[in-house]
Amino acid sequence: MGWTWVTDRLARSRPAGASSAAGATPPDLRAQLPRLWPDGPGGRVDEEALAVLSRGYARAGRTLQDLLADLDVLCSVVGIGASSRMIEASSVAWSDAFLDGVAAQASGSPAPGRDVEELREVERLLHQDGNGASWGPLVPVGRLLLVTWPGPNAGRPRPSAEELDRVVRETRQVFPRSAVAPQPAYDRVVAAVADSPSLPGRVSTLAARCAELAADVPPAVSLADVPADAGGVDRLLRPAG
Amino acid sequence: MSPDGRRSRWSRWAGARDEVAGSTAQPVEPPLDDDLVQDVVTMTGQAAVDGLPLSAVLEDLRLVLDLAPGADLPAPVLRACALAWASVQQELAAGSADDVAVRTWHELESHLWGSVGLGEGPDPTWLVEVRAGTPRPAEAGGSALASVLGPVDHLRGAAQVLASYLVRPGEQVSLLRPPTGQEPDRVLALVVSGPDEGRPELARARLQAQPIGGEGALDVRVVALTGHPDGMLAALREAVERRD
Repeated sequence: MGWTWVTDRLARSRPAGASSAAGATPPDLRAQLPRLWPDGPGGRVDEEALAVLSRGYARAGRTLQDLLADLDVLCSVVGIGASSRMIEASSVAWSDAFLDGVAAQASGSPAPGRDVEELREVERLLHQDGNGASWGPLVPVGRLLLVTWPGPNAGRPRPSAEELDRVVRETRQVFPRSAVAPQPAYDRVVAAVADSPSLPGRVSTLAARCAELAADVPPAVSLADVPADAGGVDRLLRPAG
Repeated sequence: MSPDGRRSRWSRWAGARDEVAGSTAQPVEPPLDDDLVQDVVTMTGQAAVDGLPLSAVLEDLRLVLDLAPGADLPAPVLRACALAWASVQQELAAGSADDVAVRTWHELESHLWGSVGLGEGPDPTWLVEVRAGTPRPAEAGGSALASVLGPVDHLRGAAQVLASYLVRPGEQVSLLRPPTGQEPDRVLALVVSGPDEGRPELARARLQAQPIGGEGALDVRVVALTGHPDGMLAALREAVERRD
């Protein structure tokens, strides 16, 4: 199944429900295609990736209705209806993350181990960039977004956990379908985002919000290209020294 | 919950189904044609209120529908069930957020950072700040209740009055406490108001119309939050003069 056929479908498909903005399917939604169907259109659904995507929606404060509507759009692009299994896997993952979020709000702290899990999601999204080949130009290029505080190296205090958390939440709002993770050890927040014409505008929006947040020196927002090899991605996410 | 417990929970459902079969009196939104789907929506709502996670509700649903564990549920029923669970949970979460929270400035700033601004509603345009004033003595026309209640009670009362009025997206009311104490010392109400709407003054009028602590018990100040070069939060920071 070639991508021209899928492009044709995409042009005809119209998002249903909450996401029914007129026009084409948003690039950051298209970025999910190789993630959910790593073997290309017509391949099997990666249920783990589906669960990861669904948890991301709950954490970004997006509704289950939004999630199922977007899932319908993605499935219509591939030319299938959302299967019962897919609806169940995504709904249950969304609901678990939703309840975790409510519990964290009540206790004032996120569940332990979340940072690690979130960083894995960022990594996963960056790694699969090479798998996008079977999807052709439908799938936008991935970029790594970095929000970096000057930190101790520049003689500034480290950002507090609360500050990092605020920026994570903010980044999720500006980039609702991206994977976002705090990296306290590097005084920064990272996100895997999809390239699109609106990307520079959104980066400025985030930078402005960060400037508003900061009582001290605001963190800098920047973009990095994603290396083609896994080792390169690893070095980008875990720079030495 | 044990499988038996689950069965008994949903036997209520089975009973309810018999009662409502053929009935059109069941108010369910959005309207669904299928009785089965309607009943599932109703009972899922109850299960969500009872605190059952969605995965457990779906297991129960399989028992009721005589499906093997892990077997595919009918997609329309599954979808309706999941959406009903989510809508109840979201309502519950929003309901618990309705209580006026007591926060430090730092906590408030953090909360606003998440809730105000992008996505969740317009930025507030006005601050209505309420502090405890000096109530007039009862013989001079103040209420008898004023002598029983202290300034903190007055502030809590004012916060409730404001919270019941300021329900637009982007609006919110907090009780502010110093980082060293538990008792709030003022109310901060963020108001979203168009140029000709006068909502901050309407909020002030509501406070004056309520006998909270009697005349003079509350000092109300209205400050514009628009036009600051660094945005709404910076304007609020300056208006509140608080960085602790």
